[in-house]
Order: sequence, then C-alpha cells, then structure tokens
Amino acid sequence: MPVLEYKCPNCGGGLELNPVNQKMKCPFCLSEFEQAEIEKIFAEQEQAKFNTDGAEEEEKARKDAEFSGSTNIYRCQSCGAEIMADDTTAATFCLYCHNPVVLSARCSGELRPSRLVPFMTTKEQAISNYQAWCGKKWFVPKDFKAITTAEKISGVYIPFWLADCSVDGMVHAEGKKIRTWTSGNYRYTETRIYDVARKAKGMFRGIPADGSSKAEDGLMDALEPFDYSQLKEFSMNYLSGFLAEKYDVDRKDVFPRIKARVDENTEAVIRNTMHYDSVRVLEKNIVIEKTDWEYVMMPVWFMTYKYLDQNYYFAMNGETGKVTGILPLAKGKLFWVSFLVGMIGFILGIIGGGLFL
Amino acid sequence: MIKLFKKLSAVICAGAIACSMLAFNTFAETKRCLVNDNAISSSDASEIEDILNKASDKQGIEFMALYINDSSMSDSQVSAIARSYVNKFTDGAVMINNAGTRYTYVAFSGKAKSKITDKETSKIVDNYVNKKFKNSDNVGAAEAFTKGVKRYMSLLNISPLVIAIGVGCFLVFFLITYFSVRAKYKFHEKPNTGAYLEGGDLNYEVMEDVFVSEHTSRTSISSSSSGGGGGGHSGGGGGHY
Repeated sequence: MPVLEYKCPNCGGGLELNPVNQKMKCPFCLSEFEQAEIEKIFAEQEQAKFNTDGAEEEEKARKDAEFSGSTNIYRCQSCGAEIMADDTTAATFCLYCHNPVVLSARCSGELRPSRLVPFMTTKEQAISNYQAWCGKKWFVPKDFKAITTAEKISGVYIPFWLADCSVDGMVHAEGKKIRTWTSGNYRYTETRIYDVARKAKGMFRGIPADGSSKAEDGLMDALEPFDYSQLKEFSMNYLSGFLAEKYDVDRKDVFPRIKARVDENTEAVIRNTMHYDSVRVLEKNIVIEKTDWEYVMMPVWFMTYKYLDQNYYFAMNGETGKVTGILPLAKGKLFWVSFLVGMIGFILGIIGGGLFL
Repeated sequence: MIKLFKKLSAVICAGAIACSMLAFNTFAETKRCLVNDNAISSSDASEIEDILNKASDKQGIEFMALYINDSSMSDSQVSAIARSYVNKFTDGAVMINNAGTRYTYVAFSGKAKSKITDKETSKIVDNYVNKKFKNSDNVGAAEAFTKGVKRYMSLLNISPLVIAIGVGCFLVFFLITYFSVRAKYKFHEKPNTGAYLEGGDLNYEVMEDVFVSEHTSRTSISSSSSGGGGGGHSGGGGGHY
C-alpha cells in the first residue's frame, strides 16, 4: 500500500503539522515550513526518484503491491517495518519508529474528503483541558485523572458528513389560552381554544454527523459546533502527525440521524411561534426535500479509558477546545459518601423527632 | 356577681389545700414514704422507704410517695398536694395514691420536670404505676414509679417512632446524594441543531390562528380555619385505675 511520509529537508525527520501556526514542523531539528513549500519539495523529490530509479522503484512497488495486495499492511519508509493497519485508518504512526505516515490510498478517489478543519489546539492544551474537566469531579477514579492517562490523548481526524437540507414543514395544532380570576367565593377559569396552522420552509446548512462506526455518535454531537469558516481544501499535509480515519458509515446510514435532528428542530422552531398556555399537535408533516452532502474531516483530541470492563471516553474539539466525555464513577466512594450523608440525616432525624414528638 | 363567685371559689380551694396539708401533718411520717390512716401497711411502707432511698441515691432525684385513703377527696385536691410537696425539692419526683378514689398522681420538679414530657408522665402513671395498684401491689407500684422515671430520664430514651424518623431521614439523604451524583456523571449533552438553520428561522407560508371556542368554569373556594392547640408542660399527670 502506498504511503506518504513528509520528511524534513534539513534532517530527514518526519514532519508533523503544528496546530498553533499551521506550519509543518520537524520535532527533531525544530525547523518549520509552509505547507505549500513542503508539497513542492515533496513533488520534486517524487519526480526525481521516478526519473533516476524509475525501473527499480516500479519493481519494488510491484512487489510491495503483491505483498500487501488487499491486506492492510504497509511498509514504513523510515525503518522498513511492516505494520498492519486498521481497515479505516488513513493516517497513523509507525509503532516502531513513531514516524508519522499517511496511507494515501485511503484518502483518494471517493474516499478523499473535500475539505477538513485542521487542528488548532495542541496536545498540551488537550491535556490541560482534560485535567481541568475531570479534576473537579470528586467521584472519578484516581487513575482516570492521572497524567499517565492524560498522555494517552491522541489527535484524530474523524470523518464527518455535512448535510445541507432544505425542509418543508407543516404543523396543525390546537392552542389554549387560559385565564383565571377570583370573584367572591369563586375561582373562575376561562379557556379559549384556537385552531393553529403553520407551514414553513427553511434551509439547514452543514448539519454534521460522524461517518465512523468507532466514534460514539453522542460524543461527536456534543463537540459541536465546529467553525466552518476554518474549513480548508483537503491536503494530506494536515494529516501528518495525527491519526486519521476514513468513513465506514455511508451517507445513507447517517441520514436517519440528520433527519431526526431536522424534524425535531423544525417542529421546535414552529412551536416557538405558537404563544399559548398549552399546545396539542394534531398533525405534523416535515419533509426534507433535498440533501446535499459533503465529506470532510474534523479534528478531535480523543482518549479511551477502561474501568471495570467498560469503556469511557474523553473528547475535545481540536478546533475550538470544547470538551466532553463519558466519565467513570467510583461507586464505592460514592456509596460511602452517601452513607455518611445519610448518617447526618439520621442524627438530624433523631434530634428533630426527639424535640418535636 | 361572677367576680364574687370567682373570689369565693379561690378561697374555698385554698382552704381545701390548707386542710389537706394539715391532714398530712397528722401522718405517720417517714422520710420519703408518707402514709395517711394506715392506707398501706407499715411493712409495705418500710419497704417503699428503702426503694425510694436507693432510687434517690442512684438517680440524683428526691423521690417521695404519699398514700391516702379518702374517697371524699377530689382528684384536683390530690394533685395539689403532690405539687405542694414536689415544689419543696430542687429535683423532685412525687407520687400520690388515693386508694379511696383509686387515683394516682405524679408530679416532678427540676430536671425531671424538664426532661419528662406530659405524654411520658401519663405513661408512667398508666403503664408503670397503676398496673401495680390495680393488683394492690403498693411496693411494686413504688418500684415501678422509680423505674418509669429512670427510663424517661435516660439520654438513650428514644421511642421507636423517633428511630423510624431517623431511619427515614437516613434513607432520604442517602438516596438523594447517591442518585443526584450518579445523574451528574451521566452523559446527556444534546447538540443544538438550530445553529445550522439558515437565517435562524424558517420562512412561513402559512401562519394562521383561528379562534374556535371559549368556555368558562368556576369552583368554590373553601375557607378553612385552623384551630389552636392548647396545653403545656405542667410537670405532672395522673390517672384512675
């Protein structure tokens, strides 16, 4: 399988994207290069290799192709190790020399995203935000909060489908206005009933739904919103130094999630125009007339933690820094704290009962 | 006329109490057990004296028991006598039994008065003392009196109802803490789809609100008055057996 490795022109080390200034940085000699510059150098290098070693390279590539075939094996061009990659992995690190690699075949043709939002937060920021987020949670196991756990946070480009939906909604409802007043020894209640009809059209732009079966849908939804003004034309440069996944959930499979969100929001917006004390929907019909899709990649700092045979997750929006996660709960600690609080209640009950009975 | 009647009643009551007190002065007196006209035997009296002495030493309360046998004496006169004796002590507990009317009254002063409630006083009379008097067990009644006072003076005197309230409070505090913390740790973030709606709103083609009907109902407001409660801690109580 062909792999791309962006090498530092100065020292030959593997280049990684620096989220702070969006330049390609060498972690060894600390040189930084503009992305366009690196692409140009890389293209020149590839051309030169082809010209001089064309025949040898062809033979090598053929053998490589035969060897890897339809398997998920790639050869690291830095150390020569052969690594098995996941079906959906598009960018990763060599497990032996930690050289960043991009599996270009996984990002080409139909699988090539049109755009991506590059990482704009660093791993240090992710660790710091993680510690701030779970540091306040008293009942989280100690291991979860430890720095050794935090360092497992990885930057991953998650595949997303963005849907532009034009919607046509109709709601027919009964609205009630209720007025009460008191006169003498009676309380009066006046109820006025209205027949309410609404029909509206609208456009939803860029509703995201993750296209990876590995990523928890709810977790990815909680990282919204992404700032789409930062969407850049896709280039494999951006993947270098991070993990990346290609989609394995097709647009038709994410459509029900998109539709559910559109339905719920359209109805909510329409209901907001009904100013009644109570509203009962008699009939509704919300239709998505047209959907345009775009396949993109979004940056996420991600970590999985296993506690008592269950997986828990931390995720941070790699662009905005918004954090979310599913926290483990130290039930033993919670039980004893609740018991202590219960004993305080017991003592208060005894004292109160003794005083007032 | 009413004022005159009230004055007369007060004089008669005071006189009655004075007579009662005088009557007790003719008793065969021992320190803690006073007996009128052989209401109980001398051997019983002697035993009761021992019991009351021991209880007084142990509990730090001055116990006294008075025994009369006068069917013409009213309950209020009997209770007045008990109160007059108990007020002589800083921390006193006096029991008076009138075999003639089968009436027993107990009175407290000092710490016994502050610790023992009216309900508990009634329990001492009904559940401890009068049960013995019913069986003509005078000695047993005196012992029961000292035991009853000991029980309700105890710091660990907690009724089952109070314990049940304590357990109930424990469960409420425990469950609220446990489940509220658990709920906080559950993941329940929902995305805001409205942020993706172009222009922040829909374009309405139809927006109709048509009045259909109206109806009015009425309910009467019931007035409620709360009655006042009465009673206070009197430091004594009595009962018939």
